Amino acid sequence: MFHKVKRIAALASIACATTFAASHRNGPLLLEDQTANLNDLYVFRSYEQGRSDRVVMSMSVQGFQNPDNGPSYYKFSDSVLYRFNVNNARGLDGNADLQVDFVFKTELRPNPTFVSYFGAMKGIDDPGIFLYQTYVIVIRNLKTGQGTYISTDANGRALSVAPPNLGPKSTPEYEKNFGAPSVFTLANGMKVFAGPRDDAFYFDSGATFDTLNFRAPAPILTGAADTAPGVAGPVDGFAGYNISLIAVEVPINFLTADASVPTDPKALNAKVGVWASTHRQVVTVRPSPSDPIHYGNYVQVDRVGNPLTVEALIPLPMKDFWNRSDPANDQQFARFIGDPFFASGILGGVFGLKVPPAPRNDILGVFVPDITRIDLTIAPTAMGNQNRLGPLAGDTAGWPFGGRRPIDDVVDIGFRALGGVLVPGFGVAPNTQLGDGVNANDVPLMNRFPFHPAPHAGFKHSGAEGTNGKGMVTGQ
Amino acid sequence: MKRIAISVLFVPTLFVGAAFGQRSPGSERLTQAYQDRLLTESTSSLKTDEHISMYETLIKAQPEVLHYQNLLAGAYIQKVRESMDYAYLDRAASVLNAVLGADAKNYEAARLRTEIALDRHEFKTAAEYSRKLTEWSAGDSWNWGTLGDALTEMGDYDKAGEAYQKMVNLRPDLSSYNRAAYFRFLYGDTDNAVKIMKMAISAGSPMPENTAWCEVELGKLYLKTGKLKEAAQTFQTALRRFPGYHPALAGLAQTYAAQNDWKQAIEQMKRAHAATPLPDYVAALFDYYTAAGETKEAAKQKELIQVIDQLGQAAKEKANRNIAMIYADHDWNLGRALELAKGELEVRGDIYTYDALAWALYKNGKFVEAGEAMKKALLLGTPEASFYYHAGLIANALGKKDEARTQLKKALELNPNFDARQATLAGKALQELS
Repeated sequence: MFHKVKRIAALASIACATTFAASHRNGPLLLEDQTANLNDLYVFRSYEQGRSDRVVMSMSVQGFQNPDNGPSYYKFSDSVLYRFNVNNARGLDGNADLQVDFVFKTELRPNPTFVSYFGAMKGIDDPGIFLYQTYVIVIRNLKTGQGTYISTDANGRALSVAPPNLGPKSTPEYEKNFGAPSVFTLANGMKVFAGPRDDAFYFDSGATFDTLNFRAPAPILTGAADTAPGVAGPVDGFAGYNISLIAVEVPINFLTADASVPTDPKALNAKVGVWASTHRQVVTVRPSPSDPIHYGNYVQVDRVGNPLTVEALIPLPMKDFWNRSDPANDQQFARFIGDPFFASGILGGVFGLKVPPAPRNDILGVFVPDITRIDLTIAPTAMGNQNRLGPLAGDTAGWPFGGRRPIDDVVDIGFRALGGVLVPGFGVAPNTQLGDGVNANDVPLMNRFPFHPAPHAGFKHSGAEGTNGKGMVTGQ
Repeated sequence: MKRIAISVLFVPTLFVGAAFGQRSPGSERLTQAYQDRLLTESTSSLKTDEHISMYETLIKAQPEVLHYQNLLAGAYIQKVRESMDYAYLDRAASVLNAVLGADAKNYEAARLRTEIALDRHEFKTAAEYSRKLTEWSAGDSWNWGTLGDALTEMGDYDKAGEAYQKMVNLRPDLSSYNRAAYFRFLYGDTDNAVKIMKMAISAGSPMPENTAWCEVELGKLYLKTGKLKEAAQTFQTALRRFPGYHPALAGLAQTYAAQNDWKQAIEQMKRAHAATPLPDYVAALFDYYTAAGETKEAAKQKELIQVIDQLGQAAKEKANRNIAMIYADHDWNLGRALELAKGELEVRGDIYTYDALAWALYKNGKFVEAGEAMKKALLLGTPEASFYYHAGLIANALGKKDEARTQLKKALELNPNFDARQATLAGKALQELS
């Protein structure tokens, strides 16, 4: 009897459910995309020994990869076209002149288990890699209409995605056996890489739930706090996570309109602009004899130019529209970008800082169109001499003039730019000392392609007790 | 409880305005932009329950930030998807009403509100909301999706198709692809339905349940076309992606049932039922126990369905095509079956509702009306074996023997094991006609 009462009581709670369980088809509605979600774009002259005549472009997608995510490991999507866009003419108007596309294909190799990777693997050709992903590259010159299709490296080997860092048993000496061998040199001399890496982005995630503390000493950094690695307190909220990186290293003259290597910063071809975009194919919803679904047009679903997440400043009703549009039309969004930079309210009112008056053409010049600009005549700074504050500390090879490097503290540079340091007369303390207090990545950066450090290993990364593998150098 | 706080919380560090209680939305937007990105991406690896507690805490810390309340409502809605616990839907609704009360033009809240209307089967309302939102922002794919959903339930397939096509054209992703795949299936193109659903899965979602949902739909497509091995693999993949996912367990159970492996079918369906006690699962267990000769257990399931329906009646439930179908399938409470099927027609007009109505009418001896309703169900040529089975028996009752034979043959060709109980009955009926 009690059992029956209990059961009925349990059913009472789902009595309401039965009405709705008369199912309507509740297809998911996405608040965020996953595989087409672009995070950061990096563009910089290579600071690898002997390779300063090269430029590196890399894009990171699918942030916040928990290294312990097995058995569903992150991979690139076969349904996404990942694209680097280069604008090298017409005064950098935000129209593409050159495109480098990456398209991926997943192969599920015969597998007696359900795991994607198995056993102690020896290298990137190991039979234990059941989830095997390769890619092809298409290079398009939009002026000449010429297209080049590349599916192998200079030795005829397929271009494969680097496998995940599973740990010392499964992927021993990761960087030596899996990371570095996944860098391929193409017949045309370019270098490419696709696979998981450490997320080089860093930003203080702020105080804890129950207090509204600011971590000392931000927001105004002095002395030791203003140099790498900063002082104890601020915590890099992005520490311990991986991203998926697509990187390509090209000769400088690959990017310029006249295929030359510019030497004069005042020359027209000295600067190029770059942005990354992701695309997917449309399909027709209803079948018809003349509608083969695989040949639908590609639609752009995301883009990234500058590092300050311009997209996040666009109001929600216009987000999809912004994602679909080209930088060439970014003037229409200037009113959303311009507003946050009129920072006189807080910085001026509360801190008493002198901030340049509107219009902030210095800021708009960087963000409209929203592309990362690189002056190709600026020589790269050797890694040991790089300053995270880039041009604001005399290291012009960084954001926003020399492209953007993994070391550039775009958060602090951005806040100081907000304070007006790019405007003559306003480059004074304390505007020059603003920052979030996190001054470096959790893991040391690399000095060779692809420059992002090796990914965090799965087995070392613990989600328990609120840790997130902060600052662990895997040494693999 | 895990200290989620450490890796994920977000109060402005730079702008002292927070501590001073000042808010200047325009000036703070830069930091907010970074924090929103951090918030979104870091929570992508958290479970829905963790999202909920995190957002609840964020709201306590910053009650004036409406965005956090919208995020909470969104998390509640996701919780409903995963648990079928509709109390969360009411919570989501009250959060959104509060947001819209504070800010009538809050787009984020307005757009979420449509999802709630859909979940409550308020399809006309959902269509109205969607239309208004497409006027507000014609370029946002979300609203064309919800419009398509509402119109599909109402049976306006032409306009639904247009809305879904707009959705895909604006943004090809998991949400638009899965709808396109569904439409392909409705119109009889199962091959491309499979292809497009695979594209949806490949596109992915930060919520593993979303991708698992698509994998379950793919598994069902395989089931309906008799590809049992692929079906089983796909349901297993869904379970690894989102452990304990009840529709995947139910799908797996059906795959075993299609092979007459009653022991495994019962095992998996019991797990599905334990996760979420839906009447469809109870009815399936009745069929499996019956087939396995466990009449006592079967009787318990029958009793359970009666209890569920009684609770529904006490709650004045007048529309439920799932229970209508269960009753009609088993020749139980046929009067109530018809009432429940007719009730559905008040709020929706899709082919599945017409099919349930046709079947209930047939079982109640109203053959002519059943024939009319069945025509409507077959309008799009959807390859549901059960539709043709129903059509066959109805045709037979109307004296149309040739048509009956054709329809029943088609049912069994489409999928010889389309139902643990009905497939045998379909076979018998066809034999009698030969």
